[in-house]
Order: sequence, then C-alpha cells, then structure tokens
Amino acid sequence: MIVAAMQIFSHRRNATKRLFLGAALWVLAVGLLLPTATAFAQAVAADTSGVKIDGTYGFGLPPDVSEHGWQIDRLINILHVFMAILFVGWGIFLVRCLVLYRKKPGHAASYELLKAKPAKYAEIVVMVFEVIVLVGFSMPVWASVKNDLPKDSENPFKVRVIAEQFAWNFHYPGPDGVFGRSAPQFVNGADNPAGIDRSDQAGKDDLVAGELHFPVGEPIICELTSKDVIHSFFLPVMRIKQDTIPGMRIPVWFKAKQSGNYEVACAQLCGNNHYKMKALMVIEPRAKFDEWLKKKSEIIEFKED
Amino acid sequence: MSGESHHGSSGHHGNESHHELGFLRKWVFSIDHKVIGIQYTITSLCFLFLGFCLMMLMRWQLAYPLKPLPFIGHWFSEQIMPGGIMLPEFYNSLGAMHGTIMVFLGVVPLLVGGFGNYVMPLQIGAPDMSFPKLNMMSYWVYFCGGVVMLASFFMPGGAANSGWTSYAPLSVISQQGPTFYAKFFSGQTFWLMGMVFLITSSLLGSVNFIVTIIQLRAKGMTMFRLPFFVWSQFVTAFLLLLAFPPLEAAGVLQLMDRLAGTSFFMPSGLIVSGQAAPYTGGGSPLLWQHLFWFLAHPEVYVLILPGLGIVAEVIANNTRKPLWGYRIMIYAIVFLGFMSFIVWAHHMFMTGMGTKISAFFAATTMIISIPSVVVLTAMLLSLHRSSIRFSVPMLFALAFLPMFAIGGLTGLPLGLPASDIHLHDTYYVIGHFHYVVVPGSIFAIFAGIYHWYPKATGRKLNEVLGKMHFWLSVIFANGVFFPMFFQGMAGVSRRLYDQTAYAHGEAIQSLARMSSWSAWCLGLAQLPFILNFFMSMFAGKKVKENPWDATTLEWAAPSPPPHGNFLTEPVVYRGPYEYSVPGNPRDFYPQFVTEA
Amino acid sequence: MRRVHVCLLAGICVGWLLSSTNPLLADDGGVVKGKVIFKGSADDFKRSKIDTTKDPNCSKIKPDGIGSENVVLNKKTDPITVRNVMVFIKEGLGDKKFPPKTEPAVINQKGCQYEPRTLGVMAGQEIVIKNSDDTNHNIHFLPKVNPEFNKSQPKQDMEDKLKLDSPEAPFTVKCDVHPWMGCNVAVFSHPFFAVTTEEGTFELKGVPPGKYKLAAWHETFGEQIIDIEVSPGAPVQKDFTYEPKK
Repeated sequence: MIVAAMQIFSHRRNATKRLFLGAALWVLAVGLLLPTATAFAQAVAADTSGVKIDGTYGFGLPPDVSEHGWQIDRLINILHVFMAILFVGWGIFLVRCLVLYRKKPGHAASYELLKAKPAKYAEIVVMVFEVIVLVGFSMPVWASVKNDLPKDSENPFKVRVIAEQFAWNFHYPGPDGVFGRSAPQFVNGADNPAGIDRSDQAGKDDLVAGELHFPVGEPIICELTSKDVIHSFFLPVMRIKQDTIPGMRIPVWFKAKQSGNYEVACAQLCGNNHYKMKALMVIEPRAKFDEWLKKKSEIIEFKED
Repeated sequence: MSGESHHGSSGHHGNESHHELGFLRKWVFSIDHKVIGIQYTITSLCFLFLGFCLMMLMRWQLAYPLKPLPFIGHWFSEQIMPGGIMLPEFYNSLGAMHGTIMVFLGVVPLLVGGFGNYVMPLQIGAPDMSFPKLNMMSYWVYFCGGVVMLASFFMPGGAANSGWTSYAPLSVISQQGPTFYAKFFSGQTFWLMGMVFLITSSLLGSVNFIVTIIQLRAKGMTMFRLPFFVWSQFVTAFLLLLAFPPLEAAGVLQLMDRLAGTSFFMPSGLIVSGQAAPYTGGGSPLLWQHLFWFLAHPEVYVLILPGLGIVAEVIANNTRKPLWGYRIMIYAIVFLGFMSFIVWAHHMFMTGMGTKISAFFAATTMIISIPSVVVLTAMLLSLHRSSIRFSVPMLFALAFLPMFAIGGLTGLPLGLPASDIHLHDTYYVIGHFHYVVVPGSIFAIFAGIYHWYPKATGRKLNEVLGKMHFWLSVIFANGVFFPMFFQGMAGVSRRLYDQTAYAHGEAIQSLARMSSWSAWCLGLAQLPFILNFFMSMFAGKKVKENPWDATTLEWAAPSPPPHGNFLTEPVVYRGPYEYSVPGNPRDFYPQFVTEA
Repeated sequence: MRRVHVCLLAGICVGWLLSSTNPLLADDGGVVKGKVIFKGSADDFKRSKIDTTKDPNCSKIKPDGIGSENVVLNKKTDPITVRNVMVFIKEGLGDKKFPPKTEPAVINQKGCQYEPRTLGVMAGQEIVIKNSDDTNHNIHFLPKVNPEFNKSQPKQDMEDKLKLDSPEAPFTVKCDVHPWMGCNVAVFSHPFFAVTTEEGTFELKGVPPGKYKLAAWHETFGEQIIDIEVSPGAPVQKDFTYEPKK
C-alpha cells in the first residue's frame, strides 16, 4: 500500500501509476452507484400512530389545499424556470470555453478582453426580472397572506394557537365566540394547557384541543403565541409558515379549499423533541366541524375502573 | 516603519540580520505572519475535519432513524447514545456544534487567518503584518476560543444544542440548573464564552489587515494594482470589524441572561415545562435575532469573499489572460460589502414582519444579488479566448463557478418573502447555503491550498492524488446537497432529528439516505488529500520561487519565503494580471519585473 | 445457664442477621402509621379525562383515555381517603446519618403516565427511569437544589439511571413531549417516608424513639404538620385530614 502510494509520488508515468488511476476510476464508479442504489433500496417502516394523512407526497411541492397557495407555487415555479435558464446559459458558455480554449500547442490566450455586450444585457435582464418578481409576484402575495386579515364582516373563524415544548394547543372560543381571559398562572399541563381563567364568564365555555379542526371554505385566523421558546407554525399543505414568539401574538389567516387530514409541523428548532412537535390538522365540512366542537365542549369525566 | 514591531521589522533587511529564534518562538509563539498563517491553516483544517465528522455522525441518524450506529456506536457514552442509538439532544448538540465549528472555527479562520495572513502581506510586498504581536495574539485568542468551544462537549448535559444561531429563549433556558455552578458549567455557557473569544480574535485580525493593506504596500503598489485577493481580504476585514461587535455585545447579554438572571432576551410570563420560568421578563427574543443576523449576514460574505479572491487568482493564473473587469469586480465587492449590512432581516421574514419592512429587506436582497452576478459573470468571461491549464487548483476553481452559481441562484426563492413562506427553515435553506459554502468556500480553499502549497513548502502537491481528490469531491458534494432542494420543496424542516415523523418526510426518506451515503463517500474522498498534504511535504516535487509562471508579488519571494519575506525590497511596475501581453516573449509579465 | 447462653447466642445471631439485612430493624424502632382522610364533597374533585390527541400514539396505547391525577381520591374506602400523599418525618432526627437504600427507586413511563405519581427517594439512592411505551418520552426533572436532568427516551425500553445527592422538598418531574405527564419527587436524608396507597394508608417503619414533626404533602392540597412521639415497641397511629374547598 505504502509502496503504491510512494509510486504516485514518482514523477514518471509508469504501470503502477496507471493501475492507480484505473483503481481510482473504479472507486468513482462504485461510489456513484452506491449512494443512488441505497437511496432506493429500503422501504421505511410505516408510522405507528395509525392516523391516515391525506394527499400524496413525493419529490416536488406537497399537495396544496389552500386558496392562496397557487400563487406561492406559481412564484416558486417561475423562479426555478428562470434559475434553470440562467444556469444552463452560464453552463453552456462555461463548457464551450473549457472545450475551445484548453491549453494546446499553437494556441495562446488573447490579451484583449471580450467586449461583453450580451453579458451586460444579461445583467439587465436579471435586474428587470428581479424587480418584476419582487413587485409583481412576491409582495402582493405576502401582503394578502400575512397582512390583509379578513375583516369582521367576513366572519372569520378564530383559533388561538399556543405552542409549547413540544406540543401544539388549539384554543377555541366555544359557542359564545369570545375568548376568555388567559394568564400564565392558570396554566396546568393536565387540564388547562392554555391557562384559561375559568372565573371569566367568556372563558367558561372555551375549549382547548390537541388537534386543529376547522371548517373548509371559510376564512380562518390563527392567532399564534408561545409559552416558552420560539416555535414555527408550519402547514406545508396550506403554504403557511409563521414563527410563534413568546410575548407576541401574531395572526395568520388562510382558507382551505378541500377537506382532509393533514399535518401541522414545527419549523423552528425548539429543543430536544422538536421532531415530534406535530399535530393533526382536520379540515372538514361545517356540519361535521360543529359536531366535533359540540362533542369537544362536553366536559368528559374519567371513569375509574 | 513603526517602532512597536521590532521583530517584524528586523525582517526588513532580509533574513540574515535577525538572530536565530528558539523552537518555541519560531514555531509556537511566532510573530511571523507566515508561521501564524500556517498555524491558522493547520488548526482550522483540523476543526473542519472535526466538524465534518460530527456531520457524518448526524447523517447516520438522518438516514436510518433510531437504528443503532454500527461499529462505532458503542464508543460513545450511554448518556448520549444508549445502545448506539443517538438521542435527540445529542443530535441537536452535533448540529449546533457542526455549524459553529464549520463557520467560526473552520472556514473563516482558514480563509482570513490562514490564507489572508500568509498570502496577503506577500502579495502587497510587505515584510510582515503591521502589528505582528497583535497577529500572534489573534491566533492564540482563536485557539483559546476553540478549546473552550470543544470543552462544551464535556459539560454535564453535553455541548450547546440550540443551533448555531442560538436563538433565545431556547438557548437561555436549555441546559440550565438551579445553582450557579450548574448554570456555568453547561455547554451553552461555554459556547457563548467561546464565541466571545472567537469574535475578539477576528476583531484583532481585522484591524491588523486593514492597517497592513493601507500602510505596508510596496513601492509602486497602488490600490488598483492590488491583486483581487487582497481586495477581497480588505473588504472582508471591514465586514469583520463592523459586524462582529454587535454579536460580541449580544453574546455577553445572553451570557448575563443565563448566569446573572437578567432578561435582555426573555419576555414576561414564560412557562417552561409547566412552571413559571425564573426571569423578570420584559426582554425581546427578536432582539437577539436582529443582533445575531446583523453579524451573521455580513458573515456570509466573510465566508465567500476571500473564496472569490482565491478563485480569481487561480483563474487569472491558469487562463494565462488578464482578469475580465478587474475594476468592476472591485467595485462590485465593495458594494457587496456595503449592502451586506442592510439585508440581515431576510433571515427573519417569518417572525411576523409587515409588508413594508419585508419589502425593504427583499429589495435590498435583490440588489445585493446584482454584484454577485457581476463577479461571477466576470470570472466566466475571463475564460473566453484564454488558454486554460487544467491544473488541480484550476479544476477546483472551475468547479466553484457553477456550484457557487447554484448556491447563489437558490438564494432567490429564499430572498423573496412569498416563496420564502414555504421554503423558510426547510432543507432548501440548508442546500442553498451549503452550496455556497462547500463547493463555494471549501472548494476555493482547496484551490488555494493546491495553488500556494509550493510557496509555503517549496514542494508541489501530487497531481494524481489531487485529481482523485477533486473528482470524488465534486461528485459527492453534489450528491450530498442536491437532494436537499427536493427535501426542502417537499417541506421537510431543517434540524429535524427524524424526518419520517412527518408524512411528507417519510415519502422522501430515500433522499436523506442518498445524502448520507454521499456524505460518507465525501469523507473518504478527503483521504487522498490528507495523504497528499502530509506526504508532499517530504516527497513532493521541488519547485523554484515561481512554479505557476504567475505575475503577483508573492512569487517574487523564495519558496518558502524566509522571515522578512523578500530578499530584496520589491518594487511594483504594473497591474496584477499582465498575462499574454502582446509583444512579450513570455506569456506572463510579473508585477515585480522591470523589463521583460 | 446453658439455656441463657443458647438464648443469647441465638439472639445475637438473629440480631446480626436482621441487622445485616436491614439495619433499620435492628435499632428497635417504632412504627408510625395512619391514613390521610378527605373531608368534603368528592364530586368537586372529579378526575377529568385528558385530551391525548396531541400524540396519537398515546391514544392508541390507552384507548379509554387517561384521567388527570392532580387529585386522586379513594372513593371506595370509608372515610374517603387521598392517594399519592407523601408522609414523612420533617424534623426531629437531629444529625443522625442513614445510609441510602440499596434497592433503586423506579419511575416508569407507562401508558403516557408516570408510575408512581409521587415518589420519595433517599439522597444518593439510585433512580431508574423506564420507558414502557411505544412512543418517545422526555423526562425533565425540575428541582430547586439538585441539578436539572433533561433527557429524551425516543424508543421503548430505554432506561436511564441517576442519583440525586441533596435532600429536597417535593418538586415536579415533567414529560416535555406530553404536557399532561407529571410526577412529584422528594429527596430525603433519612428513610422515614411513605406515599399513601389505594387504601389511603401509610406506614413508616423503624422510626427511632423520639419526638418528631410528621408532615403530609399533597400536590394540590398542600402540606400539614403534626407532632408525634415514638416510644420503643408501641406503634403510633396518626391520621391526617384534608378539608379542601373547591
């Protein structure tokens, strides 16, 4: 081995050196195949929890069940097409240069620099494109998703989302539609995770769930807070992401165009079990949702043996 | 020459006039910029390797979640890997330390402390840095920072595990204890103290760089005759000088939050694990993010600018042709440096930002992409009608161009707030910045090592091993990072211990496995380099002072240069990249030669 | 004479045997026992059913749901008694030193709940934490004196061991993955503590003769202290009574 290694350092082209080059090529070929092969070799064990998540997931964007999501998807697609064109353009130029201008006898580099008109135009195209996507495609979506919350006249459905290490709590106002007062001193992990003040009249019928249920086709406003650290409320299929920051209440809104069971993810590192900080999101027709809400608001007593 | 640098100034008169130094003064506590540069290079290469090992460990858990790590899993204590299964807290520690080590202990010290220190004074024709003792102090403070950072692995509760961004309140409440002893001897506290050391080191270095470039240029070396690499170091030094102090302050504030019970970053009414947290409150978690990213965005350019500098040097030398748009490139990076201070909040679009502020930061982000495109285009255009010599450094520099382009382009969907809604904090971000840093900065580093190794040792690195290293690296680096774009598109969050917990992650677990296998192969691909690096010191082909037929000043000095660098004081007659000048018998016209 | 000798020898042997197996029985200590009585309306303290939908794994393990454990009353006993009350000697032992118990105390995470809800350990005694569930748990000790302990057990049958070295009043232990999961741990410098059972009773054995302050601590109802006197050979019977208002 050492002898072979030393051979490479000899400055003559000889058999060992060729052997080594051959071996290197083999390593390369095997190395290329190995990762690709393993990537598709082993199926993953199914989730044990047994809740079926709707939609098909794969290499591209996840399914989109929101009304605004297509605008974000369209922007992402436009950008990637643009990036691909630019990259292929540069790539062709690069490869052409590498092939044409490699060092060979009788060929010398030119001292003259290229009068690069096309490059200048390309720069301008890039600039103009960036202005268009920023002003035309990005900011309007951002403004409507993050800022223009539905007015009260549109009768949006409100849910408070309270994040904690490592769970989501969904606080519903109950039949009266008014959130009760909540304060840190009332928090109790077992039966009052949202810290609702039960002495407050509006808070008597409030309920807190571990799953996010909401009716399809209606504007939903989620008011996000956190009890402890920064989390991020991420609904991949709803094209919604918003950090939940302790000490702040940040609203986001969306409208679902389709029912189903989906997932709520946490997108910001929040501690040891960040990876398990997920919840089920159930989008259902109004009638079914009301039924769930009603069932949920009955106080259930635990039956001992 | 100022009086304080008596040892450095002795080199002014060549190497014959100074007395022989002992081993300790010559190789350990040296004030020679070249020795310090080599110290920085070796130390940070070790840290790079360590950071890479941490990542290879993490990749096991990502590829095969909750499976015992074969063979080496039992080397670790039961506290972090019971039965060889990695615990989430250890995974988070590895993630945080991988990021910190790679950025603050690996790439920046290597590019600035290593290459900057070694090459920059040579390229401007200086005998040493302006403040050689400050230079030595900068290295040793960096070294202490590294030791403190590594010590955090041995704290009860393990190393810092709140990510390299160390977002409060998580970083303040994690690894806490009821007593001061427990608060102090914790990974996160040591992380913060390590950061304070590292920032101090960078500040000392940056002052030295700025003064040296302004004051110690050789006769005839005007600002626009400086090689592009020196310009990139110049801009970088300003970025370090202006961006690091806010993080140093922020680090001390967070240390106070952890140890002294202050609440700079802690809001009122925190309930941690069901109990009221013992903080008075009234602070703001967003304040930390602003202070952090005010540093960390310029830091991104600290990671890439010297890399661009190296690649520009290598390209000019191996195309045997002047760099296209030398002045334009300089204006571009100065503009880039300036703009990098007003884009930081694009890392924080998801913190509840309104339309106006996000429009501002999105606009500055679009603006900053223009000079990057200019620099990249200039380097591409430099290839036109050139005579390309495919040496190993050139291969790395050429691979840098398209890879860096991927890294830069994928920044576009992240910089636009609307598309960032879906892509923020997913693997797309990881793919994006790793494309900038790995086939970007790290490839530039390799190009630089292959290019300047003959200068530092008097011997060339081996070509065959170098080519093996290059081809394997370029293939597997793409194998590691390209799948991440798909993972990000699918919505897999970053810093996730086990992506199969989610339906969208489980569907593309195969990509995580592909990344992992590529990462391990990338690790193997570094073996030829390591072998080459050490064996060539003794067995490499011996070279004279200018083996690459280059034009810049460092090639006027002997290889390796003696203490004091140049045998005769160099004088500069022309610009840095006079290759293939018409009417000249040779295809290069060095800066230091009077007539051809 | 011989009988006396045989008796003495046997006595010494038995004493030695007893002392070697349990040193506490050797010093002729007394027994303190009693129960913790609940006075009031038990309907005010119904156990509510915990919403376990946050982790579908828990719903699967416990399809009938989990009851809250802030207050657990033994409704079948007469009078109604309180479960999970920590009864212990608070004062009066002076500077006496007691070796830590050799058998480990066990906290089991089973059915997304802790077993037991309230646990007393001696300083230096080993605590074993088990995960019997097919889901991940993250045990988080939140003491005020001892060092914090925060560890996840992502897989079934994982086990952790730790020791707490300083005596400490009852503090909370939480599962960070399942917000409802909690238990109480108290650390003592002596072995004279007990937790009330399903019968609502407690029993402290081998208490050296003397005057003590006996305390009962309940996570919701708080602490009560009474004076007792233990004399050799005579068991002490003392009851505590909680009269909580809703």
